[in-house]
Amino acid sequence: MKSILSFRDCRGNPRELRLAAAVALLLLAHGTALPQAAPQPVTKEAALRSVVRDVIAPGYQQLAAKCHVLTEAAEALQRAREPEALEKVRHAWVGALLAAREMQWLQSGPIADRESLASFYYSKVLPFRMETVLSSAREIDDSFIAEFGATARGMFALEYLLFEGKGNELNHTNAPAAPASAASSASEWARRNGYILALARDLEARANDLAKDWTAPGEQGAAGKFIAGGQQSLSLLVNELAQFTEQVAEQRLNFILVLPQPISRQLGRIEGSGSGTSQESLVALLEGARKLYREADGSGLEGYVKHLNGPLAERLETQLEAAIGASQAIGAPLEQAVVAHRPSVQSAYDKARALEILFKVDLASALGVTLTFSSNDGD
Amino acid sequence: MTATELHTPLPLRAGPVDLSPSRWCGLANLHNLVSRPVDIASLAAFRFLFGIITAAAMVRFVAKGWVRELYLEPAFFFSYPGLEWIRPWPGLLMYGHFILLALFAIGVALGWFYRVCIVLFFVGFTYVELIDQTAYLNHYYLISLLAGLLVFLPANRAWSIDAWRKPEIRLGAAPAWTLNILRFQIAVVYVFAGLAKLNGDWLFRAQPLRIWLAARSELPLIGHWLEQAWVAVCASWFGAAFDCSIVFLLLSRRTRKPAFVLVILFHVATWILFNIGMFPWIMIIAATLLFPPDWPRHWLSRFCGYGGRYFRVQEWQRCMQEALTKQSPQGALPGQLKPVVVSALLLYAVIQLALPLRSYFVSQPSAWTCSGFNCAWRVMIAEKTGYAEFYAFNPASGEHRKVSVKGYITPRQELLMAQDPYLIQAMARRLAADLNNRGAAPIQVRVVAFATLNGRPSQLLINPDVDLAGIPPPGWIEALAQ
Repeated sequence: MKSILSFRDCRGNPRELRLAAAVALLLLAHGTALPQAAPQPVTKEAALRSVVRDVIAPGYQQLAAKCHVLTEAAEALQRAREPEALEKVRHAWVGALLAAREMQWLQSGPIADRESLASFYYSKVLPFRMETVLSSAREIDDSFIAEFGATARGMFALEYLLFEGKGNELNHTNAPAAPASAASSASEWARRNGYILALARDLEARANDLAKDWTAPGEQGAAGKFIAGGQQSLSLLVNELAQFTEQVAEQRLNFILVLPQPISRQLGRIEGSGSGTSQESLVALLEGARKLYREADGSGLEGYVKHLNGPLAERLETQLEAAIGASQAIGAPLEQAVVAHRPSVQSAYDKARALEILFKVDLASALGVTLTFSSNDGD
Repeated sequence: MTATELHTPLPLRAGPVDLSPSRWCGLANLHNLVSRPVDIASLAAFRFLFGIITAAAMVRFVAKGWVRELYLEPAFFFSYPGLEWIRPWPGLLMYGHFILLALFAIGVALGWFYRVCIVLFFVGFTYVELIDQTAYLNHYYLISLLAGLLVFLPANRAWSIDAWRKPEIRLGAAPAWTLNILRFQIAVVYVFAGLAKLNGDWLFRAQPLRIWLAARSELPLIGHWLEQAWVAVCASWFGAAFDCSIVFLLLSRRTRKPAFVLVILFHVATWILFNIGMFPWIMIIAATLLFPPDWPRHWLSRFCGYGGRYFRVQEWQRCMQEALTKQSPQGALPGQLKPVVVSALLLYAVIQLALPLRSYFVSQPSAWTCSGFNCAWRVMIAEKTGYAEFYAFNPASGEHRKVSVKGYITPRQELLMAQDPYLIQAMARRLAADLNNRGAAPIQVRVVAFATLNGRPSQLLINPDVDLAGIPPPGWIEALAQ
């Protein structure tokens, strides 16, 4: 049988020889690329589908579930004026807060469309506005809640109502109100708990809406649009991650490192200091980023990055672990740790910074994403 | 007269280019390349196509909102050294500038007050390109070069309103240099773009195509292939081979037709796959310069013949015939060139060869240092992302604080600046000047800048201990870790 790659046959036919050389060259080139390719490469569409199925939708479902627990605990508190009931509400609130923190990297989509960002993440509540609500005679119902601005509603309004006066061991300089457990009269108690319950229900409704949005079938649902978005959605994810890690590094860790001393006078500027959750929140934020990157059994973002740039996938995983590990190692609320164990906060900052650079530079480049973050927002 | 008869060989028509070595030596060949009369039709057709494409490019620039984004929004411009005085017109005048450029380009296409239009287009377009270094694009640079060359070429002496209004300026032929200088320019673009691709990143890591193709994987039909590593490898090798060889394939009579089909397919593919604006269209029309000088007559006569045969529009056919005959060669520019013209041509050629070659004489890849990268036809060989933070450092107190650039530059400028050490340095100098104006103590500006090139791990781009406001020491740009 005549072989088409036989040199003797090709010798008299330069065309075949050229063809053979070209095929050999292509095989050689292909061979150099093969080791980089995973056996079953994760496609972009598959990665986006996994992100929705295994990260975003479960994330909001968990938030809805935690908010439901919070509502139930608030209802129980309204029924029974007991310290244990208050503790349960506080515990449920921390659970809801951490679930929200794990999804905080996602600042667009339904949560923005439904104007729910402030309800979950805006922390600058105004005590005098909340006291006005408490002292008002109007019933706290949905219509009244709808009139509240972000400074008297949402997750951090609940923190104020539940924790003010408790917090951590450091003293507050601007604690204007008594905690729920110390409210003197029965009417004040009822009013305060009515407020807590209304806010909890509002949060639960919002979380339910978000969970429904992300699990709605069809191409017009949030999930369908996100998956169909292709590179645009990927760009959105990387931009969100880049901005998010910058905020974690700069607005949480570096912010607390550069705060003027004594820290006890700056507590009002530290998110979560009222409830003593600043460090737990930090870990939850980074856990959320890790889930986004690594959840979905390798078929999500991690799998896609591995397919395109294996070494980068490894570095991202290592750096995420390092940042989470360093944040966990702080071991106390940030406002305490920065005084007692400053090097641990500094170390967490350094790790978060390195992660930020990886997302902003390496990941953006590897995925061909154009970043639209606004950096250099220092002073 | 039939269409075939219309295409009778012209006395001044150039034949196919002979690539045999014997033709490329000796004074006779120099004469062939410079003074031999060639049909002016190719030059006239290029003038028309160039005018149309650049007019479309100017309209597109305005329509996409880039006038505002690039020239009206920034508070700070990365000027070229010595050209800091070049500033954009205020407000609406900048829009007017682009509209005028579009009108000048149409004037060039029609050959209407050609010399005025091409001079004003060249000056106006080059002015725009010199305002801000972050606006640099290879094809804008090419447009400036081609427009600059057209200023000196008799491209309006045939098939133009000028030639119609003034029959005395009509020409059927022009000295070969008028065409060959344009051919040389296009050859420089392709060949140096091809040579730039002969590197390890492109050939063996398939970068940056591996990244860019995967980013277009949602394209219908072909999208899922684009995420495959072997597709990027094949595309890289094909792209390098195409750039290195296409000029020669277009010049050779035997391969010209398939080569031009390849040119169209290649550039349309790049237009679909990558965000490279008008570049594919400019290169497609520029490829016609490598055809025989009489190609437009050839094509028009065929078109005329087909039109007459299939549509039977006799009046239209008569007009076409008239156009072809009336504008046939009636004379030629003097073949003997003045020494000053020859010197200018040689100088231009030397500069155009030296600029791309300079990137081969630096120790670090020019894509990393950005030294010798621009004006060198290093087209599409770098995927670079950077991130830079500026710190004001007081040497007296040892204090340092982060400085925002938000009020100075736009996010687009920031992205491009963060990849380029020299732009970062320019920004640092501006910040230092402003900071020193505000305070008594001399302030240093140091930069923490990270960048990644073609999928490598990110690394420091600039030594963070160097004061970029002063004269940086050698080695201020960190070496790229291979």
